[in-house]
Amino acid sequence: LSARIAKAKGGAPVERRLLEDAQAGDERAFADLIRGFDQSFRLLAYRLLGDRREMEDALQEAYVKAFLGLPRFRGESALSTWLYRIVYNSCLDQLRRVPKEEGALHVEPSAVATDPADLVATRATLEEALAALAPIDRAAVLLVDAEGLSYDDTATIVGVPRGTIASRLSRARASLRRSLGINREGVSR
Amino acid sequence: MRTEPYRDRDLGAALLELAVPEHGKAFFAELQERLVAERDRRHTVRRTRWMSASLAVVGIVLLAALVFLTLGLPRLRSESDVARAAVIRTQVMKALAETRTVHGAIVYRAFDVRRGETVTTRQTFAADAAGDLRLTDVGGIGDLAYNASQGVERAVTTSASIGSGRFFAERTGLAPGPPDHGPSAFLLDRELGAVVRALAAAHNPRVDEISFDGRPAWRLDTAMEPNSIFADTDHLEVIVDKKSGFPVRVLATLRGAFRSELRVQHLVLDGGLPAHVRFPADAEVLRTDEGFRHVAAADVAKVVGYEPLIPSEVPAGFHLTTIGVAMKASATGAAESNPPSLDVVSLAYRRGVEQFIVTTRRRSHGSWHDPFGVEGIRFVGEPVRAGGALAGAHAELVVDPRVVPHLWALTDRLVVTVSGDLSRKQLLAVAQSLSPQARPGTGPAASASLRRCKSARLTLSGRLQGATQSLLGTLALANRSIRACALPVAPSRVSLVVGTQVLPALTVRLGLRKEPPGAPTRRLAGRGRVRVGIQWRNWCGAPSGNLHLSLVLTIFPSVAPRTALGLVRTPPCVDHRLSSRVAVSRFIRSR
Repeated sequence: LSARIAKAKGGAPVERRLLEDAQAGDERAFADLIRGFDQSFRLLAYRLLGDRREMEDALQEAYVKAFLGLPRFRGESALSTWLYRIVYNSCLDQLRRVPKEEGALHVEPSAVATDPADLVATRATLEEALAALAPIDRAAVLLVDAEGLSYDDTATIVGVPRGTIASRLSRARASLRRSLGINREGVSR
Repeated sequence: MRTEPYRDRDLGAALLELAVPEHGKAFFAELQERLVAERDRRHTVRRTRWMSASLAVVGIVLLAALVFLTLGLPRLRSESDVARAAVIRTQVMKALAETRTVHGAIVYRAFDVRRGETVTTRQTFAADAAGDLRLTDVGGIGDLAYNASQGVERAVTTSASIGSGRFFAERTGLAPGPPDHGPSAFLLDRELGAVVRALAAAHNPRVDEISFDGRPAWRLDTAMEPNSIFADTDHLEVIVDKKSGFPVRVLATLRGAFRSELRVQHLVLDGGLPAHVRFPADAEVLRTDEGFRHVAAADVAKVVGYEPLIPSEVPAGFHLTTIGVAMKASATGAAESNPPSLDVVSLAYRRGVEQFIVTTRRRSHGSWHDPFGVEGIRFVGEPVRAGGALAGAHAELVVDPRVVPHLWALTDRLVVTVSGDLSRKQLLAVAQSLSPQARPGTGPAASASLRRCKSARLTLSGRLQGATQSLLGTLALANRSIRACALPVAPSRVSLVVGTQVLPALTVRLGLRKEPPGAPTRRLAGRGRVRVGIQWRNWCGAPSGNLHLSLVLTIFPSVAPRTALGLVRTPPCVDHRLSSRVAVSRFIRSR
């Protein structure tokens, strides 16, 4: 088991120790452990929920759930994959809590006032295009293209077959590329 | 050769450049607080687990017997073995079906791999045909009782986290059984009961006639596949007392080394069952509510809003003992990864000390997996075709040593499970016979008779008061009619009005932890009332300050009662980039 966990954690001794302490119920070790992943989870949660407060609520729920479930984590998958799955499910729960008629996602404008105007415009367009995708498509493109996760891990996280990830990605990328004005080969038009 | 999947790095880079907000300053401090609270709660729960574990041990004893009668002993070595197995099965079946109560003492020795030593626990146990359980520490203060008819488990144990002395815990609203949160025995059944269920998948058990403690007995032993995550055991030996038909010893080994031994002593059938644990009047009790309520058959459809599926055929001798319903229960599946469990109906059927459970819940949006799933373990389900109400549904049958035998199915609207002490054939037969047939009072006529509440008959009242960065309050919705009427789960919209101006605010659902105390309901009794919680936050618009505010609660599209809240002070503007939000709870029955 220890070997599997070490492998799941990439063998980094400090993180392995944090994981073992967290599994034993040390909440400080868990908080330290989770900080290492938090930036990636915020990206996913915020782009799924479009609201900082909703993002924080979802992540609080996910982190508490992960803390409670950690003793059952056996290293069958990477720790990050396991955590991602909890975060993703927590975001879906949060989305379901919003009544449908009020549920249309609106991503709040980015606070990037110092950026050049055209870059801001491009980002706003990309944000809008991303927000228009179904949550599973959004998650797929963020996990694979932005975070560099494998198709298999992404499939595990969102709970669909690998083939579904490939087809969802294809559709999502086409839509996002259009918003960025880049063609299939990645060249700006 | 498998090629590396394509990653669009340009697009990925553009996505990574999008702004992601930082957490608020208090985020990690709040998280830390919640983790500490959960850690303490978990610790106290863990302290009660010695008892829960022992309940599961009782489960092992019974399951060990059930294995032979429900799942059979396939591919025995000889004709004489088959004959003997049939005799054992008949004897055990008779014992279990006829037993009203069973009590005795348990001595359980298990090798603790972490500590490298063998730990011994001794308890007395009692169980009855109603599903009640009692477990008492021998020579200690630990005591645990589960009352099946009330769905309540009470435990007295010790807690290192709160110092010396006793610790009291009460779990209410328990589901009758899996896949929802039932009594502790079921929670741990997956761990300890799994050892015995492994016999179900065994293909070559040996049967010998022996003398055990001076009494004639059968010994059955079998090889088994160890747990794939952490090797637990690869061989089981079960000794069944010939006269009573009950297993009296279960020995587990791994590669020839001792792993655990369970001995049942002083076994008494059909005695009394002292099933109540009393707490001192001034005791501080940790209370948790799993959300299930026991209801009469006539009320099921009214509560959940659909006709539950009921088996028209059950194996001989089984009868319906408990109906539990929950408008919202914990999510099921591995790491609770399934969508939320909404409008759950759990039917418990018992025969002696055997039990099986039929559940239905709404197929809420999202990806559903086996509700009995366990993190890190892949159960291989056998796709099956069921008729009746499950015709055309995706259905899987799972008979695996590590989980209770079960069938689960997805219809267009429902998620259905059948699980328990049944054989493969019986699971299928029960599933085939499911239909939304109306029991007295649960049919379409009964639910149709409850009409939607009308605006003219409703009165809304209540106040909001200042809380941390928000306005909070509980409103009362009263029915002036003498007739009961139907409500949705929660209001669909809350509108805040100043004069003729409707303030722009997003309506969202109030978190369950913030809801007013009490049971959610969809029924508003004649002359009755229900309550609903409201929280308004982040008002950055105009007008602001002290306002004469009215509130309109949209219940159905044309049913929207209004109330004047009087002079209130608007909540502070926390973040002008975010919408103002009004959170609203479900309708809660008035106490």
